[in-house]
Amino acid sequence: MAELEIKPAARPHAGTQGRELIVGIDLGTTNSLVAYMDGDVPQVLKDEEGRALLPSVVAFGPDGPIVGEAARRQLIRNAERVVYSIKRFMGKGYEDVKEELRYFPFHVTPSQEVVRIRIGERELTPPEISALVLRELKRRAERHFGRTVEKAVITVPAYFNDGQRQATRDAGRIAGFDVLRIVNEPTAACLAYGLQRKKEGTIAVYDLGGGTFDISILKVKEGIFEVLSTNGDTHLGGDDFDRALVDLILAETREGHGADVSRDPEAMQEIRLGAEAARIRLSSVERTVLTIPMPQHGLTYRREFDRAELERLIEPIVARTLGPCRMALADAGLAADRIDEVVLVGGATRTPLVHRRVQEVFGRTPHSELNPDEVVALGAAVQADILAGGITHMLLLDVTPLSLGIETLGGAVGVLIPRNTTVPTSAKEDFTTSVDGQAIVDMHVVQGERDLAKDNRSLARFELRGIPPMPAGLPRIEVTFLIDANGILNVTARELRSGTQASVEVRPTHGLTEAEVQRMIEESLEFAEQDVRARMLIDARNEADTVLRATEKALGQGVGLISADETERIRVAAEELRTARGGGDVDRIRAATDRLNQATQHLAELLMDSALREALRNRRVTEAFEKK
Amino acid sequence: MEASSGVAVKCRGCGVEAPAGAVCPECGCLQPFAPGADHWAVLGLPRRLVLDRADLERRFHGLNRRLHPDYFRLRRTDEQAASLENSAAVNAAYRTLRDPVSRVEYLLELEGMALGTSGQARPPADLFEEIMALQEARQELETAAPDEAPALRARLESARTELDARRARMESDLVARFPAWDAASDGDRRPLLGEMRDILATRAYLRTILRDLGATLERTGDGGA
Repeated sequence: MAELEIKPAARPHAGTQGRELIVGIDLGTTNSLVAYMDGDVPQVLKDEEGRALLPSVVAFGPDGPIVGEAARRQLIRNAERVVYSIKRFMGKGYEDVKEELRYFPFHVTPSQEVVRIRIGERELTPPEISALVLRELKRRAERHFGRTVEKAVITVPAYFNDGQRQATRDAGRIAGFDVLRIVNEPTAACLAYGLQRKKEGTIAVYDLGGGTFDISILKVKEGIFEVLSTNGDTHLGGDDFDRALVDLILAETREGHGADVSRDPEAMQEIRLGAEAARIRLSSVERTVLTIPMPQHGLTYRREFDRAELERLIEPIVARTLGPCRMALADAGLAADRIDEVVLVGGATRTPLVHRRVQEVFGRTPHSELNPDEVVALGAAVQADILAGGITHMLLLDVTPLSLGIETLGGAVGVLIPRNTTVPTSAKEDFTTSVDGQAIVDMHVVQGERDLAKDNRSLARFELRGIPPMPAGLPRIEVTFLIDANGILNVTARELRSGTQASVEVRPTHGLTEAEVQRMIEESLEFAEQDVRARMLIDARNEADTVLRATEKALGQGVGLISADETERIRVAAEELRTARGGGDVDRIRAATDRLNQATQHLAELLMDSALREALRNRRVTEAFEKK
Repeated sequence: MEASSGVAVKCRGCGVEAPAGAVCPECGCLQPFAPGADHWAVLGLPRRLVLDRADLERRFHGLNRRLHPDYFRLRRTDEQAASLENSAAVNAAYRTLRDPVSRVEYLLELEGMALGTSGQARPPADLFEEIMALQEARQELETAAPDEAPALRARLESARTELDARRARMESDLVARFPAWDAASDGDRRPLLGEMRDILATRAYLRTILRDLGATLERTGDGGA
């Protein structure tokens, strides 16, 4: 149907004109969000149904991956092909995660290095799966702005090590983003609060999300957000509360019904989702009934839980957050009473027990005026605006959460950069050779606080190459370890005697090599193209449907306005469009849509005229009444 | 506030004389710090041991406001690199100088008198026997029977409090010598530094003892309680 109605002009988006468009993304364990700076106010972007939270869930169906709520709904019936909580696997090796694999219905291939999730014939790494979530957010932003969005700031838990940060940045690149900055989540939250209230003082941010815990202590003064210390546990969150419940339910199912359902992925997923929902309900109500039907095992699990019972279960997990809080205070050189404010971030901080324990540690009531689910994304948008040159009065000075060192002879660690050092920061270390003519020197870089290298996180092995041949011990290779503002390590080397730049080859212990990332970016580009074609087809079909509906309606209204001949011509064009719509050829659908629009042009004009006449007539009547 | 202690470099943007570590007045291009600039120079300070913590923080914040990589994202690559290096230099300078102990350690390093690793830690002469007895008690506690543990713990706890107080006294003793070093002429400075070095050596020893004590008390915490 030819369009004759007048559309309202598209509303320009304030704050995006002229300034570079950079979005802020919170890539969460459970949910992810994208936000941007609308003038002076950060805003989260919503999907077509008005939802800000995108479940970080990817379902691998026959027609390719689906992300978000639709994937979440498949968790039960498609358990082995739906991946969730992938953030827990970022930058990890198989050995790191095998203990908790029993909680996940999807399969992980045993391997030495990076975790690989097996989906049918394919194997995907955590950055590739996270990239699918990020790409969905990218699309959401592109729909909103009506143009491509390429630059992003992505948040990570403050306690993420170098490998986990690299994995997150890799995910962003695979999704087609230029990742301008990796920002720590609690710090981002503090930026969002700082923008809102412009208050100064010492602030503790307690961030308990779906799978990670951070505590950061910041000093805010005249727009400078200086992180004094940070601590945490990248494997602790609401997921662990649920697991405590899941284990209880499994035990009771075994005892009460004699059934072991722990090997049934569907039942496990039902139990996990039921436990999660019950745990969340118990944050606002005192008691709740949990019912989990397991028809495949001929039983239904049904039980009432009260909050006190849940609290007994999760108490030891909440207690694990308190040690890091005390360590962060000690590292900041502050007693708890020197903290002016405590801010709560992350969905799991809605748990009343968490509130109480935080209050006890810091001796003051924590607050959370900003939505704890959204505040990190809002802060990422603030940092994005700082990088775009919008906000100039705020500056974030963050720290590196873990000490960085190299393995020395005998397996000890020589610390180069201590934890809680403000970034960017650099350290230099001289190396030499032990054999005449040696051209390569090896270094093993680790992160962590333990004395022995093997007890710390192995980041990478670096090979310094291109050392000119010299007797043993003569070369002086100066290696610079630089941790940039992303908290990511960069290593460069120079041989001082000859002045040659030594090349540094990196073999990440649990990460992707640059070549792998490049390959994944290329694959995802192909993917994106297929994606665009699929989307174009959907759009063309939708338009065809709209035009067909409007045509039917117009034919009904226009009876008697046009000749039988003209009616027939319209019917033929409509039929052609229906046929084209059934096929997959976008161009053919568009051409048929255009032909139908042409065929209905005359009818549309006639209808418009009669509608106008009608409107005018009505107005005269109204005026007549008014004159009386 | 000055960005650097008046050292000039040749601007790599336009070639005129520009202040090291700051932006060239002619072309606005960011300069690296002068080669070999020490932590004081980076913060625009003369080499002194008496420093005002609030002033250090102001300099740290002020310099980062001008040098931080966030503000150089859209600039030339060499300026981005300078911003990264300068910002790292400012951060290192602030971190080192704000703490009196690391400030002296750094000065000793510059003067070629650096305290080596644990080998040079020196036990306080008057406490030597007491510390030996403590080490014994510590080992006893590790294997103590439940009925003996509380008494041993109590003894170690009180020793810890005492040694920690002594460590704090040594640190104030160290800081008390700062004005003398600042005021002294070049020739008189070295012996003063030597004294401070001795204090640091003893302090390093105490710290090791305190760390071991803390570890033992923590490890045996549950059984002893």
